[in-house]
Amino acid sequence: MKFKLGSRWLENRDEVTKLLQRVLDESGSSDKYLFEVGEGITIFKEGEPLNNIYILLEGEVQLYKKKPYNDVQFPLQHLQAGSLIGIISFMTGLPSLTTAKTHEPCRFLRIPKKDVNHLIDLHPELDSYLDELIMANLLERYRQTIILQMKLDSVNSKLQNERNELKQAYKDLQNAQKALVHQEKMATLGQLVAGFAHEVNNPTAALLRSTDSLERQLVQFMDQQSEGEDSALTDTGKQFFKLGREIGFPDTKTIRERSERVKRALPVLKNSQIRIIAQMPEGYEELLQKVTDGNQEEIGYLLDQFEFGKMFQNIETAGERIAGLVKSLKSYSRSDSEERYEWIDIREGIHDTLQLTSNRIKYYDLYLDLPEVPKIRADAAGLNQVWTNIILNASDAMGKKGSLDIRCGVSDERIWVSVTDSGPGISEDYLEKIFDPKFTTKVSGAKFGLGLGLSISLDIIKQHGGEIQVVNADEGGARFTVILPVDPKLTPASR
Amino acid sequence: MKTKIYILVVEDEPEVLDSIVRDITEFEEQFVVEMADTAEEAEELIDSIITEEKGLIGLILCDHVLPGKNGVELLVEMQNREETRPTRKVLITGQAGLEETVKAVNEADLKHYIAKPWEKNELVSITKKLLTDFVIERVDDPLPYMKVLDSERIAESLRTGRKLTDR
Repeated sequence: MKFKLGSRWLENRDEVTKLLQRVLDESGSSDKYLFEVGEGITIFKEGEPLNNIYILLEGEVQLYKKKPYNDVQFPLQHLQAGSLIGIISFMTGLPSLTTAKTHEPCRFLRIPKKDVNHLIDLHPELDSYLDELIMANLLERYRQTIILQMKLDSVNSKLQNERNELKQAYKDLQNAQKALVHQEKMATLGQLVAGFAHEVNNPTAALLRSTDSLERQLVQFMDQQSEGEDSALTDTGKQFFKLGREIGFPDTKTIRERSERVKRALPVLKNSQIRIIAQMPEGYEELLQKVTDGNQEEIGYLLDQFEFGKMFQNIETAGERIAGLVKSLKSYSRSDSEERYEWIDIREGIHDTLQLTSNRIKYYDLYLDLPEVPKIRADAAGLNQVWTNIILNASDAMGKKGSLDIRCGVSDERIWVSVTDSGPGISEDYLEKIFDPKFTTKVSGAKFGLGLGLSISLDIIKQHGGEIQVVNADEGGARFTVILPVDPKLTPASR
Repeated sequence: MKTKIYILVVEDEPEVLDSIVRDITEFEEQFVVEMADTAEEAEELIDSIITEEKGLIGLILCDHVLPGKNGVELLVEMQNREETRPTRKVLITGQAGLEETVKAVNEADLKHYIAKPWEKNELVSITKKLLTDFVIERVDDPLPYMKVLDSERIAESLRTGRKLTDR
């Protein structure tokens, strides 16, 4: 097939349509097909049978297709002057696939289908013209489709990029939110701790004071009771009370071994009494025997005195432990201080932290080498969080048994603190990542495990213009070293 | 001489150990109280009670958080040993998590969980109930124990001539 006219149409539509118009004019029928409409007029509708073929002489036409599921008209192709419209319907005889609407005032040749054959009879050359034109129109539309597909592809990849960026942004936001929630939690916890410490202090003080008074009054009372009685016995009683008041607890194995000997010395006593005597230093079984001459009642009296003393000691020890914990809590959370940055001795914070994490570390061998170092200007509560994170991580890594080696010192006018554990160390793959937010090796359900501990620690240290390093120690185990300038104001914060 | 029945108390803090033992001292008339501050020591003790003293361990009151092996591990081991399977097992703790407690119930037939701080009455009544169970189940002549244990239940078991469970 020759495609001269078609090629020409692709280059210059006007000329070809004019040629067509001229051919029609020659038979004097052009006017009867001429058809002019204004802007925004629907020429034909999707789904309706189409009885004409349109040749657009002037103006522009937009083709629309209905979207499935909703009736929104989706713009397809924009047809310029010279285009044939209704080709597919013309060729297949099926209802129109699209809706055509004028985009501006237009002029068409509207040729009814039934006239086409008649026209071709009149002008035989029209047959091949039409073929070529239809072909050229379809080519043009095909080209448009290819362009559209390429556009679609580039839009798709742009969308994909945007989606990835959004994903990343969402992730960042989530991390930021977690960090914020964590900070908020710590702040709330700080306030709670301050209130708690204050509230616990009062009953603890009352407990300790009352015990003290009770003890004095009891001693007085016993003195009065014993007036005129066997003063040798009551004097020994006081001695036993004092012994119980001050004696340290032997371990259970020692008590058991001592019990055997006490039993041989005083076989008539009850097991419960023997166990009490076994807590006394060597030789007391003989003293008891000597003072009481084996009198059961008197032995019972003396043992009661010893137990009284021990109970007072227990109450006092327990009370002092509570008071000590409360003090550590207060100083750990810095609930008393107004300023965030103060001149502090970092060793105090380390001691507070050790005290407060004692339930996790109490079975570790603890090596402390904390010589005096210059005070530094720092956020004490923040640093305490850092020590806590490092120590609890070490504890998670070591499990129940292990050792912690904590040292500090000065070098290049900066303070360093190192914490070395005897755990398995950190895999080389992880060394770089452990300060990333959300990096965690702990399975869920671990005790602290937000995965934020070390990244928050890093933030805190950076705010101080310091740095934190982690290596695997030569002896195995991980070593965290925190290096802090004496005054962060004098050091530009590293970010 | 009749077989001695032991009460084992395992607790690493001496003050707490002292208080527990003091609270249950009324049972010492008929039972022997032994103390251990680690699970490992408790195991040695169990060995010597069973092999040397030929005694029975009626009850163990055990802390969970201990240096070395923890309380639940000790209880599970006891459950897996024939001589200590009938021993009534109690945790006295402030720190056993749900998972560990579930393990103790499922694998060590835990009879009771006492949270710290405990009340003396609670500790005594649980001790009495569990030792009574043990004595009815394991002892041929429970008569001497009536004084310190639940005398009604022991009398009832003597009257019906039936043990708590058929051995």
